[in-house]
Amino acid sequence: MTVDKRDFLGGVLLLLTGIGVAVHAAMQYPLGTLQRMGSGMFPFGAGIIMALLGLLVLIPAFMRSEPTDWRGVSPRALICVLASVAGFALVMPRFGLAPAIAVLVFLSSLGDRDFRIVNAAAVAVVMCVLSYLIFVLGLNLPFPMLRMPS
Amino acid sequence: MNELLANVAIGLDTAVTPVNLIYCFVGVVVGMLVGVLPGIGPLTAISMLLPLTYHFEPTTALIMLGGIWYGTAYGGSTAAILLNIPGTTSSAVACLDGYPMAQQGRGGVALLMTTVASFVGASIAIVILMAFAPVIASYALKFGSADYFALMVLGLIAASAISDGSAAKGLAMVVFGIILGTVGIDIYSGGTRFSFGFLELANGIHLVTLAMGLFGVAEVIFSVGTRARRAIDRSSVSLRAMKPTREDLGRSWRPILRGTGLGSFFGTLPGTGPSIASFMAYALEKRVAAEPGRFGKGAIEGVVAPEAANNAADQTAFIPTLALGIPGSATMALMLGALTINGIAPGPSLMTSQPALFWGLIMSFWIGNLMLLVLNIPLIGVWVRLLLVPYNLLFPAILVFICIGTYSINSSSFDVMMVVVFGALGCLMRWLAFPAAPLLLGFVLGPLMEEHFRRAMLLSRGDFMTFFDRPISATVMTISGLLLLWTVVAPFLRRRRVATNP
Repeated sequence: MTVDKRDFLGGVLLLLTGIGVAVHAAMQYPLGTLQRMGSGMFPFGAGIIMALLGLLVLIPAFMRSEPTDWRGVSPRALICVLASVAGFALVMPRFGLAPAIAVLVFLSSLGDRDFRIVNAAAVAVVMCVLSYLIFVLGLNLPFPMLRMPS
Repeated sequence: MNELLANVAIGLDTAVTPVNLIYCFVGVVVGMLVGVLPGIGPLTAISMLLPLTYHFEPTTALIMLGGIWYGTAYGGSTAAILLNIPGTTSSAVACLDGYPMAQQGRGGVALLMTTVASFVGASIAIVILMAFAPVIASYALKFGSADYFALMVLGLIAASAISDGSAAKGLAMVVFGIILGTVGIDIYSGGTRFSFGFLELANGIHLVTLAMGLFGVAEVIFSVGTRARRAIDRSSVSLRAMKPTREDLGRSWRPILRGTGLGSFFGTLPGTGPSIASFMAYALEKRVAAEPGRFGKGAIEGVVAPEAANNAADQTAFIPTLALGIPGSATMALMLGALTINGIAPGPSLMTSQPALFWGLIMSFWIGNLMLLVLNIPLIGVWVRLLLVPYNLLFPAILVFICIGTYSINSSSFDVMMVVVFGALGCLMRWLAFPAAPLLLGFVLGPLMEEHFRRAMLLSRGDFMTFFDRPISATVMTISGLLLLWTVVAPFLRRRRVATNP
């Protein structure tokens, strides 16, 4: 028997998440009665339905072979882009907008195979100017372009 | 009639204020841009600009977001015709006959005629929107909680079942969205749910962070390294090459009207929307054509009908969203989100409580479509040049807007970190072929559904039959049930048919 690994994994994840949500809701929040529902009742029901749908994804996976269109993702792009956004979140409140943009642009550009430092620097400069014009001057957002961490 | 005219006057009054005109313009230009550039869809663009709406009046915000939405339909066809790559899914059909026309040196004609078709389609649909939305809203004022809950169930089932891919996966994502929507303080009991100790989650997950992660960051990650440069024949886009022949016009007007009709109808239904409308319009034209063999080789009917259809559908999609407060697609869910962010309760009373907003928005559609008609033609050279911007310069810029936009809501790094989390979730979902749009729809409708469900159950003293006692909810629930049954059974039937006739 062949198994569609993608749907097998997807179904299992749905099943586990659904059960987890239902158990958490039932244990931590009051369920109440059907007439006067507590805060746990609605998520409890939703968790159970999600788990059942997980089964509906999981069971047919056993009757199918591998999917042909399993879209791959470049691990390099995944890591660099996520890290660049997290980097922005860390740098922005401490050092201001310009350093945050620089970190974001450099880290994310590394995710592309043909990374060139000159291109990244140019994009960073252009985006700093644009952001200043749009967000600070245009929309009056109180963001310092550069600040010293205190 | 007098009432309608008075409403139109209120609307025009609102729509032509300088601020609203400027942001209508910004919206349609961004929309065209996004439509032209492959790799950013309307959902990504609206998510990116959603945080800005915190700093605007709600009417202005909606006018701008609306402009992006119908602007993408105009822009999407440009990339499709000139490069054979659809800028948006709904313009994929424009590739079929538009690109062959461009190869024959008639790309300019194709672009001009799609612009005209788009304008006609949108204009007729706006009239339909003006005529039907108030009627539906006044009818909907009689709806009770059970009826609302039933309508939302139908909308969510339809949206997830009709979307491409497995219906079970779509439904699972709707439910997942509903669960994410329960995070935060429960309005009935005051208890906090699923916050896991994070104070920032007490007010719930932010729509902006969810949309940015799922449609912005995940989209970028999957597009990095996959875009190649392509060459364009510039001579076909000069103004002189755009003049349609008498034959082109003669062949086009009937398909435009048929496409508009189909598009207006499918736009109002949950789950169908512009993509399906444009495919249906193409199929219909091919069926009624005298020489179906011309299709796929540059038939102008195959370009104008789908374009009229998807622009009409873009406009009529606002009917359920504005008249009932029930969005039929993820994009409309974001529009609704922009309303609730600004503290305006969506629903049938919107039209009477916020007439300036409602009619101002609709009048801005006219103005926006006029702007697009004027912009599209002389600026085609600019759009073409934009298409040549390499993606490795573009995607860091997209990320900058995503990050600043998110951060600008609360000046909170936590929100930006949530974007990272949802970006990772979005990648996992794409990798496992789970659709993201139903999740967003579930997330927006979830809290409303819970409210109506709990109220209905309270009124019925805990009796589930309340959903089948009232005529409206009983009908809607029956349709939902049949649709659900069909979506679960249909794949099995299809498989059996494949098995019996190999």
